Amino acid sequence: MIRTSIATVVLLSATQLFGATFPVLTASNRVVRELQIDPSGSVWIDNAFGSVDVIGGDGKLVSVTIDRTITAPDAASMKEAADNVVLSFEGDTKVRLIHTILPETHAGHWNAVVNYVVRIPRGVNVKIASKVAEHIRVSHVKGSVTVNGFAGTVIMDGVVGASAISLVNGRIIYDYLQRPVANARVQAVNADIDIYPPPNSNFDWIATTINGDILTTFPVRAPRFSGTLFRGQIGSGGPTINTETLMGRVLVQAKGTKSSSARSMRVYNSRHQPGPGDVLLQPPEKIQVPFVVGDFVSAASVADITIGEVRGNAHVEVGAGEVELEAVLGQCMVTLMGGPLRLGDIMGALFAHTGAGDILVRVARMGGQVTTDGGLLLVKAALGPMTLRSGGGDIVVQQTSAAIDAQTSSGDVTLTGDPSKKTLKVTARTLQGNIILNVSPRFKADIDATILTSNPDANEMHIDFNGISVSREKVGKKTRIHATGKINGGGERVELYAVDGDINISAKTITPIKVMSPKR
Amino acid sequence: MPDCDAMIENMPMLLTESLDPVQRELTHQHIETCPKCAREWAAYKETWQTLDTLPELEVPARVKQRFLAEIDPDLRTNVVPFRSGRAARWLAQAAAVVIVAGGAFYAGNRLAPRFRPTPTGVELIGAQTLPPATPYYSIAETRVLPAASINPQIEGRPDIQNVQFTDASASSDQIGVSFDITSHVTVTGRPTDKSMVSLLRYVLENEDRESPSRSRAIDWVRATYSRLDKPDPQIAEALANVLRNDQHQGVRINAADTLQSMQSAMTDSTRDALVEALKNDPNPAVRLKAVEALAKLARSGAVLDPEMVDTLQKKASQGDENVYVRVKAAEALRSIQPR
Amino acid sequence: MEIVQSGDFSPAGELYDRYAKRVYNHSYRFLGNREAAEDATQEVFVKMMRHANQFRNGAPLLRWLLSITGNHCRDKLRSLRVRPTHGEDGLELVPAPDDLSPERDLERQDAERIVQEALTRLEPDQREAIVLSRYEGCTYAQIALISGCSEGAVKTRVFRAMNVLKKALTRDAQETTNA
Repeated sequence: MIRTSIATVVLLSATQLFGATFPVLTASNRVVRELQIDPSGSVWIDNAFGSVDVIGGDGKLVSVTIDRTITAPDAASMKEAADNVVLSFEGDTKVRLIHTILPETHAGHWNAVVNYVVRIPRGVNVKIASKVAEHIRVSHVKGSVTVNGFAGTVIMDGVVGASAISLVNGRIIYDYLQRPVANARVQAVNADIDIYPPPNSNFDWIATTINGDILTTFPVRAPRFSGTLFRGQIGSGGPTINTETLMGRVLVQAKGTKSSSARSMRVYNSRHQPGPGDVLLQPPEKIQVPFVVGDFVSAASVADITIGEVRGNAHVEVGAGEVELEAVLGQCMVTLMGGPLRLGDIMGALFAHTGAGDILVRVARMGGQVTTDGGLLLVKAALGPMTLRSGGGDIVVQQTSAAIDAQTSSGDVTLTGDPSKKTLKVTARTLQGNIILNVSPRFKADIDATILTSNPDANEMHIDFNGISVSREKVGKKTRIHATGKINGGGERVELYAVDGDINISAKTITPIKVMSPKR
Repeated sequence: MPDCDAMIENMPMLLTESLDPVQRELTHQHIETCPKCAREWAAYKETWQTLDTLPELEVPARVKQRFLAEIDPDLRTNVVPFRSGRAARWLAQAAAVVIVAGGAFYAGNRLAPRFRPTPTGVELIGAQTLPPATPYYSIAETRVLPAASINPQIEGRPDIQNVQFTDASASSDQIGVSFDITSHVTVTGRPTDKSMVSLLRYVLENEDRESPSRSRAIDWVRATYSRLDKPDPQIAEALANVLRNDQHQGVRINAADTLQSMQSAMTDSTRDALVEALKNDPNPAVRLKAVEALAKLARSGAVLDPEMVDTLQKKASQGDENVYVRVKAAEALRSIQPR
Repeated sequence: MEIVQSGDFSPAGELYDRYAKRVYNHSYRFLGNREAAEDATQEVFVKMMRHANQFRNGAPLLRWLLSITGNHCRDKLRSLRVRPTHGEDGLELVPAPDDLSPERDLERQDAERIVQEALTRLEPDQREAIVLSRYEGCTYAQIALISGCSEGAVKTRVFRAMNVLKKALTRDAQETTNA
C-alpha cells in the first residue's frame, strides 16, 4: 500500500463568508491509496458531501485519490474540521469500503468537501452513497452499479453492467456507448432522467411520472399505459430500462437525434375527455385567472387552479392539486384524487369530490353532492338538497334551507337549519362522533334519533323540545339510546344516528346567513 | 510489524475516535491486514453498537417533587397530595386551577413571587387559605382569576366541564377560558401567560372531554395563537398529543391543521408527531395536513432530521399513497438542504 | 449556581430541569434499576444544593453533577455489599435490572436486558468509565476529572470493561441465535 499526503493552507482575502468579514482559511489534503481487489469484487464508497468519479480500466488494483478541502474562519475551527472529517478504509479484497466520516454536529463554522476519484478494474461492482454531490460519475464499468443520492447530477457513462440509481433532487444521465445489455432501474423524486442509447438499441422501456412528461425520439412499439405506468418496446426489445420519477421528466433520446424532436408518450389532446384513472396522464396545469367566459373544462395530473368566476359550467378533473373556484354560474363538477377544494358561489348543481382533503363551499344554490375520502366538509349555505359524505372528518353546514343527508365515518356532524324554514328533512349519521342539530324553537319535525354507545354514562341525548320519548336497551355489549317523537306537532323526518357520541337537538335563536341574489 | 496486543489496546479509543490521526491510520492499516485483529475489531464494533440499545429514559415527575420538598421543609406543608378519597378529591378539584401547592409552584416559576395563601376574597382564590379539613365551596360561586396569579402546573386530573372561550377584544388583549369544576371559574389573562398556556394545554389534552369541545377548543386556539409571533411551544405540544392520541379523526384533522399555522412554536417532539401522523394515520386528510406542515417547515429553511427526510422520501415513492400527499412530500424534499 | 451559593434556592427547579435527565440516565446505567436511579437522582440534586459552595463557578456544572452521581452510585453499590464478578449470572448481585413492561417489544426488551446484565458484570470504576464514554460522550480526560483518576487509569478501565462486555454481548448474541 502506498500513501502520501500533501497539505496546503491558503489564506484567502477577507470575505463575507460566515456572515461577517473574516479572513477565510482553506486547507486541502490529498490521500492516495492503492488497494487489492478481486476481479469480481466490489467497491463501496460512502461520501456525504462531495463528488465521486469512478473510472473502470484495465488495471488490477483499486486506486483511490481523495481530496479533502476544508474552509473555516479561524485556526481552531480548521483544526476541529481536520480532526473530525476523516476517511476510513475497511474491508478486504472482496469488498472495499471507503467512507468519509463526518461528525453529526459541530460547534465551529466550517465546511468540508471531499472529492473522490477512484480507478477500478472494469469488472468490479460499484456502490455509492451520497447526500449532496456536485456530480457522481461512473465510467466504463462492466460490473453492477448502485447509486443512492439525495441531490446532484448522476452520470452513467459507458456503464455496461446492471445499474440501480436512486436520487431525490437533480438529474440522472445515462450515456450509453454501446447498446444496453443489462437492466437499469432509475428512481427519482424530483430529478429528471435523461437516457441516451445508440439508435440501433433494443430494450424494453418502463416509465412513470406524474408531474413531468415521458418523451422519446425512438419509435416505440406497443406503447401502453396501465395507470401511470408506461410500457413500450424499443427495437426488438431486450433488457429493461425502468425510469421512474414523480415530479421530473423522462427523456429517452437516441444518439444523433435532437431533443426537440422528442414526442410525448402521454395520451392527451384538446378533444380528450377525461376519464377515470387517466387524469394522471394529463399534463400539469397552473391556471390563475379572474374569470373564464363560457365553460371551463380542465383535466390535469398536478394542478393549481384559481378562477374568480366561471361564466358557464365548470368541469375539472385533477390528480393532485388545489382548486379554487370563487363563482360558477352554471353546473360545477370537480373531482380531485387528492387535494383541497374551495368553492364560492355555485349557482348550478354541484358535484365535488376529493380523495383527500377539505372541501369548503360557500353557497350551493341548487345543492348537490360533496364528498371526501378524508377531510372536513364545510358548507356555509345550502340552498338546495345536499348529500355530504366524509370518510373521516367533520361535516358542518352553517345554514341549510333544504334537505340534508350527511354522513361521516369518524367526526362530528353539525347542522344548522335556516330559521325561515318551518321544517326540513335531515339525515345525519356518524360512526364515531357527535351530532349537533341547531334549529329555531318553532321547528317542526318527526324525530328519530339513535345513539349506539359502549359508554352509556358518557354519551347523552339532549333535546330542547317536548314531545320526545327516550328509551334505552342493551344491544350486545353496547347500549342503544333511542329518542322518537314529534316536535311542534311534527313535520319532515329528522333521522340522526351517532355511534359513541352525543346527539344534541338545540332550539336556538338563529341569525340567518344572508345570501345575496346572484348578479346577472 | 506492529504488535497485535498494542493494536487491540487501541481499539476502544478507535471507537471513540480518541486516537491521534497517525495512530488511527496505523491501527486501521493493521486491522486491514491482520485477520485476528480484524475479528477483534468487528467484535468491538458489535459490542459498541449493542450498548446503544439501552434507551434514554424520562425522569418521573415525582422525583422533582421529592427533591424540591426535601430542600425546603416549608414547602412540604403546602403540598396537597391527590388521593382518591372524596374529601381529598374536592380539595384536588377546586385547587386544580388555583394551586398553591408549593413544590410545583416553586418549580414552575422561579421569577414569580413566592407567597403563602392568605384569605382575601372572591377575586383571587389563589390567595385564599386552602381549607385544611372540611372543604367548603359555594356551588353558586363564580370566580374570575387573573392567569398571572395561577400556578402553571396543573396537579391531578381535575374534571373540567362546560368549557367556553372569550376572544380578545379590540381594546384589550385579554382572552378568557371559562369552565366548571366545583364552581364556574373564569381565568383571564394574556395568551402569553404561562398559566393560561398550561390551562389551555390541559383543556386540549384532557381525554375525558367530548370531541365537540375539543374541536372547538382547537379552533379557538388556532384563532388566538396563530396570530402571535411566537406562540408558546406548550400549545403546539398539546396539539401534537391530540394528533397522536385522539380517537376522533375530525379532531386529529383539526389538530394537524392548527399545527401548520404554528410553525414557530414547533419543537422536535411536535415535528415527530407530524412525521408519525404522515407515516401512520389512517385518515388521508391527516396525512395531507402533516405533509403540508412539513413542506412548509422545509420551505422556511428549517433543518429536518434524517428520519423526517427518510419518511418524506418513502412517502413520495409510495405507490398506494394518495397522489396529493406524494406530491407534497416531493415538494418538501425539493426545499431540503441536507446537512 | 451563583444564586444558589448565595443562599437563594429559587433556581433549584431550573437547575433540576436542565440536568435531571442526564443524572437519572447515568444513575440508571450505573445501578441498573429505575427505583434506585430515582433515589440517586434525588440525592444527587439535594447534595448539589447542600454542597453548592464546593462548586467552582465557571467549571462545567454537569461534570460536577456526574462526579457526585458516580460517588453516590459507587457508595450505593458498596453498601449493598455488591462486588460484581465476571461469573455467569450477575443478576443476583445488584438490585435486579428492571423487568421491562410486557407491552414493549420483546426483542427490544431482550436486548436491553442483555446490555443491562452485561453492565452489572463490571467493577464500579469500569462501569462508570464505560458509561461516561459510551453514553455521555466524555473524552478520557473528562472521565479522569469526573472520576478523580489519571487518564491512564481511565484507558485501562475502559479497555477492561470492553473486554468483559465483548464476551458478554457477543456470547449472548450467539446464545440467542443458537436457542
